[in-house]
Amino acid sequence: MINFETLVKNIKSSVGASAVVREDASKLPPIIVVSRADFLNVMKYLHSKEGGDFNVLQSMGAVDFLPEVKKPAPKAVPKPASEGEAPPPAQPAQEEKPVEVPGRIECVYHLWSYANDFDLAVKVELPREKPEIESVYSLWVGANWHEREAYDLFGVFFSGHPDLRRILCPVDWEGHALLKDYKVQETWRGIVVEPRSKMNPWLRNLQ
Amino acid sequence: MSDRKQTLEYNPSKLGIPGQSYLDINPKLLEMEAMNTEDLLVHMGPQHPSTHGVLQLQVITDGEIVKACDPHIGFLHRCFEKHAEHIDYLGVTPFVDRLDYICAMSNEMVWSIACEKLGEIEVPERAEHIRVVATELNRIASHLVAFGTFGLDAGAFTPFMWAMRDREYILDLLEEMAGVRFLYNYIIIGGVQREWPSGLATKIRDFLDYFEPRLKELDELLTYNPIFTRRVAGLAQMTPEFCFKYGITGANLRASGIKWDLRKNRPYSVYPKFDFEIPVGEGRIGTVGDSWDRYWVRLQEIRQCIRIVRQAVDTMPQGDYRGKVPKVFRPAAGEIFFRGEAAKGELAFHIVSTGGKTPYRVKCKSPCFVSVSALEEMSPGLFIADLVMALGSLDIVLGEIDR
Amino acid sequence: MQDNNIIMTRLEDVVGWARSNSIFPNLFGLACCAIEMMATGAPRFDLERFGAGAFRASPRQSDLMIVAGTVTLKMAPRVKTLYDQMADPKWVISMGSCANKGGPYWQQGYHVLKGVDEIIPVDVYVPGCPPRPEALIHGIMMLQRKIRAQEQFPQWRKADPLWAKTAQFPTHSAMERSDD
Repeated sequence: MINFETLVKNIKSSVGASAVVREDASKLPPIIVVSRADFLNVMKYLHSKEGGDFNVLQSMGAVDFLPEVKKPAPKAVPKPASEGEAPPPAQPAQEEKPVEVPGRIECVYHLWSYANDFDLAVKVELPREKPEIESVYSLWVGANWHEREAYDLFGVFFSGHPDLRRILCPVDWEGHALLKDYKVQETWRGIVVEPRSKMNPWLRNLQ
Repeated sequence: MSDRKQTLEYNPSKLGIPGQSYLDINPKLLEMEAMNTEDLLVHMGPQHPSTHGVLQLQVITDGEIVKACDPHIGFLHRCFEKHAEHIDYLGVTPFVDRLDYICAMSNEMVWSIACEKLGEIEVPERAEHIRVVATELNRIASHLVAFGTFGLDAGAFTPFMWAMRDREYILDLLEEMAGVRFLYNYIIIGGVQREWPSGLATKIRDFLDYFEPRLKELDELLTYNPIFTRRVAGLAQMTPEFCFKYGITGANLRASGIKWDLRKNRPYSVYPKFDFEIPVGEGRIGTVGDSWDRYWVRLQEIRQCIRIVRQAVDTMPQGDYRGKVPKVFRPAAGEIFFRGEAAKGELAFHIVSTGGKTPYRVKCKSPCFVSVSALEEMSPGLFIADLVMALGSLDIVLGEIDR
Repeated sequence: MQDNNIIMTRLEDVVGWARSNSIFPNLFGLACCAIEMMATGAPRFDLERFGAGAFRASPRQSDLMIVAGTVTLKMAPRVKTLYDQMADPKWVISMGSCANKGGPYWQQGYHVLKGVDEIIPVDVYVPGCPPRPEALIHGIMMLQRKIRAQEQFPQWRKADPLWAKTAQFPTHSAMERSDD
């Protein structure tokens, strides 16, 4: 059996203290967010026997987050002073600028250790403009098709992958379909993809 | 394949071959064909009676023996994950049905339980019993289709007809429960859509009494039939390490000798209450983990499903058929990865929610996707007819692979 | 008449009767509707009693293409190729809402062809998701009526220069008939 805290400690001690950026044991399954630089070492460690013997890669997906602007929290309104009490001290005025969070694509790997019967989710955050990561094909052969699908739908490039090409969409498809700002192309080889004559007439004028 | 070290540069315009015809062929297969001029590159194309749907197998062969096989999928890519981002949680249920369309109830069950865990919703026990009955009946129907089409691949037409006839009785029962023959939209978040109709328990018991001797007849047709066993025994053996390498689960993993079933090892719903066994491949004819074992494990699973249905129907408590679910289901922000035992293996949903009405991202891990990815390694050295049988023994359905 | 076994009729009627009662469908199941098509050929809703039970795997040997299931863009060129490979006279039944108009995937389906009649001409549309086997049989019986009502020998009419050119079935502008 594996204890999640010991696992995180072992990863930090064997790969590096900065390898694990965040962890969350409350989710199902527990999540480890790994830094981009130590990703392959962490995966190799998890695949090995002393690292937990995660011999099965169940699933590999990606999640797209657009860049957003986080509005500042509203300033707290000071309570009106009631009779007999001293008024609260005047607080210095704080200027809070809106925070710009850059967009990211998270790759999520769901691992399973059969011998120890433990599920784990490993996440890596990649920049949205040029998402690149090493392929884990050398550790889990089943990652082949999962990574091809992530490339097809999100544009993530896996270096070290033997055969990276589109798997679900056709070979000459433009764009990566599951990105949040994806606009489908007008025609594909002469076939109109979204013919206006086939739309719901009530919604047609809204498109 | 020997030259797996080759990688492609990160230059999107170089990927794919512009100017080629619409038949997109793996460049490595073209190379192989160019080197050996006696070999043919054959597309067992998307329309083929025995590829169980629109799967394209690009096969390098010298006419009889397969040297390399490259499965192409995507001919049924219906953009389920994109739809799930725009439609609310309850409305995704019909789309989830259409993933594994032969066993729709188990898909809905996994989706509903995943959403309930995310949104912390209680399901009354009566609803859980109804769900289990529906799922197990549908699992019997799905294994009957697998049995029938496997016989059809071998050239046996009668088992297919008998299996479809028995499947029609199950569809009648499910139609009384849910209103539709298949693709039910019945198991929803919090419970089920409609109340259990009166008199259905008797009908289910009558059907099970009728069906158990029929199962013996189906067994006699095909299982120990020497023509069938000569074709299938010892074919495309999958060792447990092979299965774990690819992530293959379900009946395919159990046929390799590993006793792993999510209904027993990670119990969900009311499965802990019922008493049933997990059949495991023993290699009675041929080796452990060959196609005959996969077929045999599915037949034994039908028997265990019958046991579960009997117990669930006999011990069904009174109560509500659906728990309390808010009118607009908005789970808290978070994510979940829930695995459930569907008919073809372990179906899993990774749902990311940001607190809105619709999911933010849904990733569906389908069991048949990983089975077909393993076909590339299983195929060299087989005859073409054997390749068809190996594919049939994996029991795939393309709706789930392509989503 | 019972003694002589001779009936007087038109050749068109006899040929129409023969063609409508011996349809060879093409095995062209794509998705969930294919399972209902299989169930229609199965013992309970037997399609063999209409003469249409002999499903042929090759399009060159069949004359009816039941497009059962969602046609995706990747599959669309293959559907057109298979339709072109069928020999005249040929008919198409669009089965299910996915083949009629894109089905439940019409809104966000970037990869779904919104209806198979974008690429091939369709004779009968059978709605439903999936249509019950009874609905498919209704569609096939409707097609049988249509076949009997059709002109059976257009090539004779076309060879005659004095006859006006009429279309045998409605065609889209995108599809040309090769022999006109």
